[in-house]
Amino acid sequence: MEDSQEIRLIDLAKNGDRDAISRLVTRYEREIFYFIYRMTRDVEDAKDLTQEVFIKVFRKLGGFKGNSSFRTWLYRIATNHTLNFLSRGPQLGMKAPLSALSDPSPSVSETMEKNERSGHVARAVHRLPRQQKAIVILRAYEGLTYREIAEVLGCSVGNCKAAYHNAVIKLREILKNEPLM
Amino acid sequence: MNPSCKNFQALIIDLQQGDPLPPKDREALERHLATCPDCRAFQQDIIQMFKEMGDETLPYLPDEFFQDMREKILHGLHESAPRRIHWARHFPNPFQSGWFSWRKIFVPVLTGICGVLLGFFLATTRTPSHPTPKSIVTISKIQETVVQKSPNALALVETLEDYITIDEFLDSLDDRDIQALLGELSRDLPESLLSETENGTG
Repeated sequence: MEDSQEIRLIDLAKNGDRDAISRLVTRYEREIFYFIYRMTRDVEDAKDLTQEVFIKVFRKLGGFKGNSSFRTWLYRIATNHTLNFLSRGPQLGMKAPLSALSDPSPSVSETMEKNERSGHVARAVHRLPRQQKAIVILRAYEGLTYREIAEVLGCSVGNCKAAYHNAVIKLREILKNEPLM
Repeated sequence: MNPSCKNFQALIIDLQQGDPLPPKDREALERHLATCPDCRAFQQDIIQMFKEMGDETLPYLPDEFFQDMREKILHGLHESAPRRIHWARHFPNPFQSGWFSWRKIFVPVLTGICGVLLGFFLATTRTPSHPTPKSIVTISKIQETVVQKSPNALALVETLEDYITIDEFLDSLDDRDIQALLGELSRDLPESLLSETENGTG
């Protein structure tokens, strides 16, 4: 659940307070942007979708009753919006590979090896069906609990767990069939 | 791999994910791993996979990137221009799964509305009152009986010929006429004929 400051910000944002909206965006923009980036693997798409998600969130904020946390609600809208986007047509995928945009500050060889390996897993995740991809990213990368994921995806905790286990097993199969070059 | 391996694989995933396992499950998993090479290999793969996920390097994006994004969000929220309507989003291709996913609601609701409208139509549409052979015979009997037994009602009953049904005839009378006619009928007509008259029309 939110801290009291966030609840106050949400109340102010419901009344159209520009500063409160700005602070809420600042609080969650990176988290949501990187979540969407992991789903799309494209920086420009992720940027556009993040903007659309936040605009949608604040337009719908009057309907937010606080039954779930604001963060979970935000993820719910972001997940649905991104899944809709992905369902509209085949994505080129991995248009902006991780290595191309990585922070150059760590040592070059170490970063390259890590990028190669993690990029390998990321590519495998990207090949999962959309729903499985969402559940793996929400759980393994974003660290949401099964209960939070169940709220985001609108399913039971048991179904969520089973879907996650199946997705991880499938991910392992993909990685086994396409070993790192 | 035996059938129970799938259950243990779920436990391995949760364990490597950092979820605490109940002691009973953990002991059972350790016993199983000691005897199952497939699940040991699975565990190693999962450990490696989660490690690589944790090593993921996200794209480096400067603060200006997020500042720009934030400004666009605020601008998008406060823009006064009418929003462009994306018809394709509101009315997607019916052959795509998105449309059919809510047919479970749409079809029953539409059917229900049609049913209610049909029921309302049938309930409010009155069957026209046409004279049946039985009611015509009854009217003739009333005329005959009244004329024979009650000359005072003669003037009223003569007008029966101008009407198709008893209902229409009665509608044409004012209160005084009705009282007079009913008084005559109740006194002069046999009771069986009166009840037949009530049932014979419409």
